[in-house]
Amino acid sequence: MRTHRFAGYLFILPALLFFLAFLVYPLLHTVYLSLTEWAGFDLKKIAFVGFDNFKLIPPDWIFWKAMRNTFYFVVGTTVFLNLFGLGLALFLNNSTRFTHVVRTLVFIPVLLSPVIVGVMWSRIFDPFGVLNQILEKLGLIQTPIFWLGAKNMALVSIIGATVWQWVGYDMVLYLTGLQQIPEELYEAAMIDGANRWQMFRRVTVPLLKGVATMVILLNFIGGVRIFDLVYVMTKGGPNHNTEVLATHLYEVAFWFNKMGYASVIAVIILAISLVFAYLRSRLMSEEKA
Amino acid sequence: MVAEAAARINRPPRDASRPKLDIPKYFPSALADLTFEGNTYSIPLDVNNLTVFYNKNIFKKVGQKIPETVDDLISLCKALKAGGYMGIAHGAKDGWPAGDLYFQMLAYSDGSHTMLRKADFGKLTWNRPEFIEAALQILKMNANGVFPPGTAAVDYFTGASQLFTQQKTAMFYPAGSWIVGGFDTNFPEGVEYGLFPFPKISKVQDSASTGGVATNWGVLKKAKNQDLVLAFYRIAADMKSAQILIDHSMIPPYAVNIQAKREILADMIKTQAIAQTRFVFTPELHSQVMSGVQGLFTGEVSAAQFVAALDRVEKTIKR
Amino acid sequence: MPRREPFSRNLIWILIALWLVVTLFPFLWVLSLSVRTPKEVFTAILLPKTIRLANYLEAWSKFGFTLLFRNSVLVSLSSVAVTVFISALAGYGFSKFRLKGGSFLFHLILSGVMIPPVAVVIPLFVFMKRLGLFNSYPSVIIPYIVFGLPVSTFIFKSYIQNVSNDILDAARIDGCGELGIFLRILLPIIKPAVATVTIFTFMTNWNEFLLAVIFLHDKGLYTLPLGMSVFVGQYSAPWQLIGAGVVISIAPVLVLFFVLQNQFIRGLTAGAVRE
Repeated sequence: MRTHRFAGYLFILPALLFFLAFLVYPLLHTVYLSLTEWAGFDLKKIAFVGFDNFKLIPPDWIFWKAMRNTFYFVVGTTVFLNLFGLGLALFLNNSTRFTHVVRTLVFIPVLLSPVIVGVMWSRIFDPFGVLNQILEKLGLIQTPIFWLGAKNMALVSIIGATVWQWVGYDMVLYLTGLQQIPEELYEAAMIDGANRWQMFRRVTVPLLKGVATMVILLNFIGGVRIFDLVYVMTKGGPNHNTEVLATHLYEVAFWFNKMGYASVIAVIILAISLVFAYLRSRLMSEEKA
Repeated sequence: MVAEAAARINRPPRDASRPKLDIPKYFPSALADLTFEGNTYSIPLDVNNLTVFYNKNIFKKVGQKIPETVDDLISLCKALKAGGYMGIAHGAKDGWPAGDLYFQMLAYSDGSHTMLRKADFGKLTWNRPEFIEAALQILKMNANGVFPPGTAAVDYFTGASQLFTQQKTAMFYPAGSWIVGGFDTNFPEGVEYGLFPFPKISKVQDSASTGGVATNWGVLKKAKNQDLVLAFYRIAADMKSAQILIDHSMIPPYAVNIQAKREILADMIKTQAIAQTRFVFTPELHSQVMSGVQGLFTGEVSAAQFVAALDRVEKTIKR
Repeated sequence: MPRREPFSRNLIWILIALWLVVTLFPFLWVLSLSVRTPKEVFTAILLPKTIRLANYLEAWSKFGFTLLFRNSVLVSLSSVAVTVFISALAGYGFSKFRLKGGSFLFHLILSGVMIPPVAVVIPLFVFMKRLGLFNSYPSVIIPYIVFGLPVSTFIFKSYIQNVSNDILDAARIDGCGELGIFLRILLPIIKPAVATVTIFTFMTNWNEFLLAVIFLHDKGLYTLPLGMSVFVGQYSAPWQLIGAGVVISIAPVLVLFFVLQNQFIRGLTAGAVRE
């Protein structure tokens, strides 16, 4: 029995070692680095400066712009991803050939690298690109819309491209949730004389609450760490109007060569993610109970 | 991209050694980019020369000549618009072209050509007429239709370059030797293009393009075979090597008597003589110049706010 | 569900059709873009008059797809192989052995999902520089392995938990060594979990960009996403070639998807919501 247990430890050892060395240690190191100043070139020149780096946050208006943009991004994407995702799931919840095809097609964008999505949509959003071409042909606009070049439109366009990519994902999660609602509950409600809307309110909604909260939190967690799409489409511009926390970190670390300050931003991103993750794990354990 | 890379290389590294070389008569503007506090850290292989490329066919069609001043440029663009063409394709979305545009205007608004370098190192504030003037000129040109609408959304290589090669605009800026190959490939048959330095602000000025080091070479202190490396550099700086550079569409960083076979390259070499350095080494300031110009294009930022933001950034920099 | 009233039913179908158009149009447009001649890049909306298939050959060589695909395959396959192997081992260890502190360690690894890669890139940067691995394949392979561990371990543990102990005990009585049991008895049984984990980690790594852009500086090391972004940002790429490049990039993934549809969908959404 002892060799039995010993073998168990050996089995978990490789994963554990990898995890401790390349995730836990770097995590602690990030916190440490936020207290240092380093340009990123000479390893011997990492200097301890205490909380000085944290004092750089209040005057850093790019950081606050990034915070604001990240907030809008997270909220904007989550709202529409869930709205469309749930909507599609509700109406595609039967098992016909047709709905199966539609579900598969809607899921395809999820497979793509955000870089590819960014490259595609940058062309589509180009002032002389196909979206404006279509809108002009339809007579809906006279002058081109600057999807990625106008102050507020740029972030909206990026949110749009993100929603386009990930609706299929939320849809699948909601479908799984819907399919776990027992058919009998609907039948019982129908016997009680409920119409479709009442059935939705009394059966679907309460039983989907858990799934919905989970999906929303997932969207939050994914939204806070957004980098690829923004970097490829606008690099955070124009004039930092699409700057998000991750792109600001990247610029501060690898452009301004302020590794210490960048680590402060990393700590902040981490803290926000941990809050959402904690909520998610609380919910999962409640679900269990 | 080249400017980005050059910025990274040019950031005074604390570990590079100082090459002991007989440095040929490099253009002062080229060497200035690579010298920090009296020490030269690397030597230039070739330089970039930023000018406006223009579509000769369109100019002929609309019957226009090369503009000398910004006002000439504005009337030129009005004539172009009547003919169905747009003015200068400019990839402001990528940031660095927008920065180059600012430095170009600064080369005209600051006749001494010394203020940028001083401000870069925190020795001069940005809130002064010369810096403001350069921003005002950009606003003036944009308001008068010199640049296509939505320029802040147009990127350099796939947006602006396409506008130029698809002949929707008559001009393109900033153009350097790196883009000649792309234009050659993508222009339809029979289209000829030439260059001129960016129009100046007032008639009495001299034309000036901006230039900067493209590739440069240094030697690390811990490098082996340092003598071989330095010997190679000496050879590369020789006049014979200049021919090789020119044959590869690169511009030598010193005056040459060689005539390039292509007219456009010959023109670039000629204008290099009048080029002014354009560079900001402090990354935060460079980033702010780029963002600020984007803001000028989107109408978000006024000239006064442009320089004020730079001063704000300067305050956050620990020197 | 009961019958719906005709009006809202039609409205629903219209909305779904609209979303389908929105979803598919970019693909169709990129496809059409990829076969256009330079003249028609900005003129045609969806159907060009002339078709130029040579764009694909041009895009292939210009983008350097041979190298990009090779690098992506190398990086993705190796990281996936290691992740699958060690997380299956761990999943087995956690579910079938009563380990002291086992629950704690399992939840520790699971908590790794909370950590956004962007929050640890700088320490990883230091780490790779210290190990002399910066700008090399391992510099991305190792992080890919690690970031795939939490979800993969979770999937394997859940799956293996449901494997009957009898077969394993029988093998033990027969004198089979522990590793032998794992390799010869367990692995064949947990193939579905292996498939799920493989798909999930492979797709994540194949599409990964942030770590690649920070750690891979040599053009010869570029993975597909990195190559695409650099190319579009650094060369005068005409739109029709960009279109061709995009089609080439997504074709393999689409083919795989259509072959494995359901498994793909299950794999990619695995671990998101508790089953």
